[in-house]
Amino acid sequence: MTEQRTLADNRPVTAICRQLHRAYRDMRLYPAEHPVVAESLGLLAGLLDSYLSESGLLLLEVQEDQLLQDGEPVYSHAPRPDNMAFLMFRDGIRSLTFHAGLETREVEAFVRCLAQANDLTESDHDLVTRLWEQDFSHIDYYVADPFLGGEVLREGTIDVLRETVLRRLDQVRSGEGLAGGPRTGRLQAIRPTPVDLSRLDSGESATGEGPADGSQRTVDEAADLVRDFLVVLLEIVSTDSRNYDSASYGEEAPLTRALVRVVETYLEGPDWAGLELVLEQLQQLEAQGRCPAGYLGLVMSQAVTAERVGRLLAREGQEAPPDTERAKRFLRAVSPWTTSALLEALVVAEDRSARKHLLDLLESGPGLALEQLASLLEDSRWYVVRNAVQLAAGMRDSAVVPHLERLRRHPDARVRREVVRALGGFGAGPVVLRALAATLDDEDSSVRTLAARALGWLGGREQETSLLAQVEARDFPLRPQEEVEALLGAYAAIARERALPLLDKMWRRRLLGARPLAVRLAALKALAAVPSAAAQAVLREAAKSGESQIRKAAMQALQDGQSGRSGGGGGRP
Amino acid sequence: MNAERPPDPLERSDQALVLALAAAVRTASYYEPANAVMRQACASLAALLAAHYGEDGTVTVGVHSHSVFVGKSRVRSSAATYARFSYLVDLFTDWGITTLTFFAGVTEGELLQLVLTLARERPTTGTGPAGSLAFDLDDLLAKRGVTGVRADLLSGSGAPTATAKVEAYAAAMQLGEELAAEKVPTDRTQARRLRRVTQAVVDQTLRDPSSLLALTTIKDFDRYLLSHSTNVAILAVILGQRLGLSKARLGELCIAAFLHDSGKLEVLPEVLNKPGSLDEQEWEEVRRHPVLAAYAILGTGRLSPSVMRAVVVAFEHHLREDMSGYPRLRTGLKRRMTLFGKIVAIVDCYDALTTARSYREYNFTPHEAILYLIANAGTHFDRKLVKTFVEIMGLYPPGTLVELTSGEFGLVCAAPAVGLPFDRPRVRILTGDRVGSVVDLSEREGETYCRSVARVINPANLGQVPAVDPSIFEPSS
Repeated sequence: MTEQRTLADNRPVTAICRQLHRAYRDMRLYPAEHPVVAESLGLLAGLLDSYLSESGLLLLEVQEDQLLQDGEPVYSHAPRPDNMAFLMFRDGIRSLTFHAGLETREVEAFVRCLAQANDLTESDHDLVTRLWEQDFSHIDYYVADPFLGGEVLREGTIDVLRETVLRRLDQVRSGEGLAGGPRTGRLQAIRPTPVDLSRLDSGESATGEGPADGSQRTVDEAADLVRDFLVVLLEIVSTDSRNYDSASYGEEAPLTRALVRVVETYLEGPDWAGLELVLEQLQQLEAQGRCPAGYLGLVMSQAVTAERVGRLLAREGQEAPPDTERAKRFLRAVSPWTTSALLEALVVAEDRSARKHLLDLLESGPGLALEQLASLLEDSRWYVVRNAVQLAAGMRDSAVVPHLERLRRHPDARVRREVVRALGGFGAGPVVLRALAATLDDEDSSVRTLAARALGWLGGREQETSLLAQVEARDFPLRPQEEVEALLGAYAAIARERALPLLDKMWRRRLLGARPLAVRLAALKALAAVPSAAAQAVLREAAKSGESQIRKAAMQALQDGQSGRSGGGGGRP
Repeated sequence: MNAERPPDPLERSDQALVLALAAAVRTASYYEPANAVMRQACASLAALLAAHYGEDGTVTVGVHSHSVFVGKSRVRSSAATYARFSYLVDLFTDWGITTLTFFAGVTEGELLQLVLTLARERPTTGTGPAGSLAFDLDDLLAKRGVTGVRADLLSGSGAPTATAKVEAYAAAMQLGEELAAEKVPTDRTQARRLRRVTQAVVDQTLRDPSSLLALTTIKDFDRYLLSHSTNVAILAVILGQRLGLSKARLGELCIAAFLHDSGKLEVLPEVLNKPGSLDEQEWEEVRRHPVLAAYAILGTGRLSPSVMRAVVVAFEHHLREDMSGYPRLRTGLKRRMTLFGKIVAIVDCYDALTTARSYREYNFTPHEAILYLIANAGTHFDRKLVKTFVEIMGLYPPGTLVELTSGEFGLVCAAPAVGLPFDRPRVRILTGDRVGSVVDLSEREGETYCRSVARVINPANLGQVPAVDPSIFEPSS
């Protein structure tokens, strides 16, 4: 009977705890302003209010994984990391009391503290401290902290204090002045006050800050805190020559970690003025020999991560142009020490302008090592490989060529196109030329076109046969105009006089069957690249054609030939 | 970062009621009942009460844990209203009142009698179990025809015990000793203990600043650094509280103050405790301690805002308002001190000056230390903060030995109550017929003060004397 009554009495409290858990869960799942959170908190506040207005207070005992009221469980939940009782118990909270008058904002703050409990350890904080900081008026909690409970106060600690007081009071009693006992008669009071207190009332403080109350509290703003901290760090760097050794300035040195943390905070902001200050000051200190050479680089290389670079670039366009410029300036300034981060950022950059920006930064940087690119060239994502190929192209290191040769067979045409462009940058070496010639058989027209242009630019007589084979292929007339032009142009640029018979034949009408006009026009264009009188003669003949398009193309080719505008294969890829 | 939020209309209304009650009692101590100012104060109080009566026809004003409540809501004070709030808290504490319940229909006349009683019959024997006083108050009120107000007794359970204060102080000392072995807290457990202990110090300070203030006068010379760190932490929190800092900021201030001198652990003890003057090289060694402290705190773990503040405070605490002092600044970037740095600079100097040291031929009395701060306000120290500090400590801070105009010798045991003149502390009589009794120098007979300070004495060159009653260390207290 008693047990039944107890259970019935606990029912409202069980409902409160259930709702507390829901609110705690919702707070973790949804943003703070989400209606689900508001509803959950509203229900909880309502339940608590109705209980407290009747009962005055609600006292809960906190056990390892459950909450009890009057010894009866009113809350338990698995798994443990989500269990509110466990979160509190872990931090030493052993009881929790809600008092009548509890305000909604206190309920919300309390639930928020619980919801953030698991993240607090990351910032070296704890639930008890967070609750303590809230300074609740209507929520009490008891923390079983043995240190403060007195159990671990060493025996005699308080005795030492008492003895100190007694000893010193004895000294007073035996001291001159008191030993003689009281004087007789009334003495003169010290007056007026022997100091000019009015000096405390005059003017502002020496720092020019406001009064020592409300307005001065704004000194505590977070931005000021980081700036004050940074200034102190820079002073320490420049002051303490004792620490001028590698251990004090290493990656793990406290000073380094602190500076890295400041830069990270500024990057999160972002605070460009702060970042510029760090750059400028550390550069100066390095130049003055007050910190080791390369210290700025060490700090920046740790703070500027790919993720942060990505976030900075993502903000471009959302910010005012001056800030965008400052971002670019900063990233350019730190690019010598942040290659890895920039590379990583490039790997995941999906936005075209961000990618372009990163590539610019990397290309303008101190140069990459092939090892840094090797894994990217193997990546399964096409755009990662494409970006890496583009960077590899800028390296001008022949060791890259075998990688490009392999990637010539990459399944994605976008990668293969970049490979051809990159190959074109490595000059007319036999390996490059062979690779380009082999690419003329690529399944993708745009790739073949680029390869043909590259060959036309680079020359290489050995490739003449490959080009001729393409031109004489059965499907050649059916290929896209750009490819046709590129192949004929490249062939003309390499074969020169030897190309004349073929080109002469190709601009003319076929006796049997139609030759596409695009092919005929391309042949005329290619003829311009053959610097010979015979080629000029062919073009002059074509310029007299009855077909206006042929006539115009021939005249244009003549002009191009005279002005030297016609490059083999349509110019450098 | 600023945790203080503006009050909502309901809070403002509660605040107005508290201020009106405090103002009415205060006015009653200066003006005669028939004075128009007095009448006006009671009329304002009555009007505000009328706007507050709940459905049950009552409104309660209570004090719990050094906070004022109207009904069930705690009314927050601000820097601007702190003095009046504190006055009301002291008034309630002295009378042993937890709650005053005003019943609808209470007249302005009854309110006048109430505030006159509270102001003029105010007990002068200080704090203590005051249930009987509250009982007397009810009796007094009834005799004076005040039926619309009821005074509730102090329950005792919510009041901080002397043991709790002493334990918080001793815990801070003990933790300091343990940390000293490792210079600063290097692991999470130690950092957590540091937080807990400083939280306890802040809690105790908020509940009863004067008791903690008295404990700072103990001064254990054998463990100077530990007692200095603990004292600076307490004094900094008391000053921060008066400035209206939030509890979270006070916690950070307490940690920063506690660790501010940790760099001295790296300075050679023979230099630190050398009798006589230091040579230039030794001075250079001592002057490094702010940077050493900052560097040591940097190594404590994650760089939370609290750690950042502690680093800045450690670096700044020997800098002056004009940016002279040490360490010498080199970057040209530092143009001002932080609020926490300014606070710790003041209380650090005060505590150091009032601690007898082997190398000093003459040890400052607390009074002289206060004069030193005042003399250097505006150049070494922030003028406004020094003023606030003097308001807290008085011109004769606890621990000052004085000879009174009555011819008695006494020890200042508590600073003047908020709002009273700076030179009117409470003094424990050490000689004569009234040995052991505590007198309030603000007591008057007519227009004349009963006692004043005739001179400050410094027997045996002790400087400051413990202003605590040794009995507070007994478990029963």
